Amino acid sequence: MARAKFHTLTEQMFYVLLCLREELCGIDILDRVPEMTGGRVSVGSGTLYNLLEQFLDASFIREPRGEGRRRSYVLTERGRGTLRAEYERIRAQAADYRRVFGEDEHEQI
Amino acid sequence: MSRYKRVFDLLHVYDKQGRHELFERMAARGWELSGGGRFTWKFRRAEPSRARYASAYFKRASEFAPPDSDELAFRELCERTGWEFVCSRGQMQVFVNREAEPLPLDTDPQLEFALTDGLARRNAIFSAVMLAVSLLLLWYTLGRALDDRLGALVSMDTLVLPLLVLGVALCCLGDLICWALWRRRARAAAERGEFYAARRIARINAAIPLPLTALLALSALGWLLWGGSGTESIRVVVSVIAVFAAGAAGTAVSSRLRAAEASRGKNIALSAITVFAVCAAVSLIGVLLTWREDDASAAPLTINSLTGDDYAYAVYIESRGSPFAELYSYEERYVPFGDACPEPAPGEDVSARLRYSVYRARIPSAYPKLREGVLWEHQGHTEPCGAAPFGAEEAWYIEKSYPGVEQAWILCYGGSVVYLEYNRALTAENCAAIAAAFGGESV
Repeated sequence: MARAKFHTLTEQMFYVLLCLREELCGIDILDRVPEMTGGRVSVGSGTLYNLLEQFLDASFIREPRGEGRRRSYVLTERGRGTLRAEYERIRAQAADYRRVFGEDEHEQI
Repeated sequence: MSRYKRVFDLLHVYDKQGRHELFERMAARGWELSGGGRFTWKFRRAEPSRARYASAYFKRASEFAPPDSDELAFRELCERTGWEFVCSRGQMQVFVNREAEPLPLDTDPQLEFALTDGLARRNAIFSAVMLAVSLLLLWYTLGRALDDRLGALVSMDTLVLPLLVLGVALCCLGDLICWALWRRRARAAAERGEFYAARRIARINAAIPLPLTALLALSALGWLLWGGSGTESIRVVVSVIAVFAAGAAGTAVSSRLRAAEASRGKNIALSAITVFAVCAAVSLIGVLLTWREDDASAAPLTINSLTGDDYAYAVYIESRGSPFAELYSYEERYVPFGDACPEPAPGEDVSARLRYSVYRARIPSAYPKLREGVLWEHQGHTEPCGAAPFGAEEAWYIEKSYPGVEQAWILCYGGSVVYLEYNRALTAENCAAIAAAFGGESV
């Protein structure tokens, strides 16, 4: 399921990958996601750990170095590509929305 | 007052919410979760609290190895959001959070569904295999009961085993249906971005084994009340006890070794040795329980009572029964080895051989079935003979129905049917002894 799921990322997957543009450890990601989204999105520690495992399996991220329990992660080219594809998908959705409702209605909302 | 309490956990792997509710309810009552066994949770006395519990599945965790650095890193990560590790059971890690509104451990419904479903699917595969095995066993046991209706009528094993196997098959089927229902609903909820609380399905799933447990208890009671001295029944009960005892001992050893941080290989080896040792010990007890010198003193008819000698022959006695009828089988003959038969004196005749089976009806309507059954087994070989000498209502003589059996009789006494083999000519005194033994009066 996980591989198929990566065709479209969930919000939490998206932000975890986005955080990893720079090298971070798990604990930093927990702080960084709410910070980045103004508290709108938070990632639970159980979810984060499993996401990191799945991203590692899918080679979306890599571990530049392992320092005992403080493992850190960074985005790979493949992960960057997936993130880019997701961004394009969201952008296309936003463009479609605007085309249907127009810019004015969008602003009213 | 005890400081610790164990609570059985019948909840399915996907019923995380049910499990968390159990922990929270216990915490509110002053019982704090302190450990997990294979089928139980251990709680210790504490101040009542409104703690929140959550569990997560850590795929690489093993019940045979102490937590590795990844598992510890995972716990540390959880601690960072206020979730303190409490205990683990296999891959399941349980955490507690004492904040009023903590950030949940799982925040992605799709990921949570995928992980839980992975584990639930493993259980479902096990249930499917068990279902297939149960159906095969059911086919076999029913076939055996239909082939040997007489045996089925006088045996708790033949009556109860198909019922138990059917019970197991229904449990497995129920498990699979509940899993499929949960899976469909949980996946749909995850796609909507929601967590699915499967309380009703999970409650039904947890209740499914209860009728089987009740059936097992009733069967055990039936075996005790009506099963006779059936060694087969004792073997079945001993095997069940051996499985449970070995499982419990293996789990106890493995969890102690895990707590002592023994290596995985050492843990698996010692746990396996414990399982085998307990199985062997319980089986040995079973052998001792079922192995006994058969006592011929209570037998209604013996070679001695027919011939008048006091020569010691080897005796084999088996009795079994059901609520409908009972069977008492007796066999006595010379066996040229072992301690049962002393060495015959030169010229001494030790060729006498007596074998009989008494089928006694426990309910009146069983008698015609017993009569029909015994006659059916020897159809084509029976011819009616005089019943009066045996004090019976009806009698049949059988000549050479099986190799080695020269003559036999079927005697009907109203409530019981006797099949008797004796390799010597019967005298009038012998017939009178037979009549006295089986409740008739020789005429």
